[in-house]
Amino acid sequence: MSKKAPPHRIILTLQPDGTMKAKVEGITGPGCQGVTDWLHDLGEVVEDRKTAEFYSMVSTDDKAGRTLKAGGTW
Amino acid sequence: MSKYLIIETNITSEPILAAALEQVGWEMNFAWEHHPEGQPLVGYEGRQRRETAEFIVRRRQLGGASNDLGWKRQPDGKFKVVVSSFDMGKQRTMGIVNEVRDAYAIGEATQKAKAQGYTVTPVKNDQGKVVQLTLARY
Repeated sequence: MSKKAPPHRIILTLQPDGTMKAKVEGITGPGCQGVTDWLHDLGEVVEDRKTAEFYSMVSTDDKAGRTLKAGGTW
Repeated sequence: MSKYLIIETNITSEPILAAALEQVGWEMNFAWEHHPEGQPLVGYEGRQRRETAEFIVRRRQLGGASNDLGWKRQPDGKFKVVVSSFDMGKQRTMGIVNEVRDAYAIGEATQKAKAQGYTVTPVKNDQGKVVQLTLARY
């Protein structure tokens, strides 16, 4: 993992079928990609899903001219 | 959260598998054996079977008319469970198989997360089993 990774949490949950579900919290956008690389060493990744926050973009097109960030606080 | 993964854990580490067997053996009250070169499993009738394994729970630990249960390393480095189809219907045998699988997954994830610099906080269910790890990096 990169030393520059921002503070974040990973929640690893054991599923009834023995698989582990990993959720990344605290990082939006492609920045979370690098922090999960090591999880692939645990076994076969059978599902790798990016949520809407992964695609979050900074936008300045709101009428008030504020900078909006998906998933952030207004 | 911006991403999630589902991971099927592979059993590859002998020390972590041994630790998982030690933990589950204590909780479910069974002894186990480690034979680095492998040893034949014994069937319910007392005869040696063709199958061998490096980690073995003997049939007497599993209840009446059981066969030995084993974990055998495969050419690809992964351990596979060696269990007779008859024993796959037995609650105790499959309970051991599943609990060892889960304990291994938690043990390996804990070890690798710490190596990555995470603070690891285990979360237990009502039965005292660790079912979740919170990994934090600040």
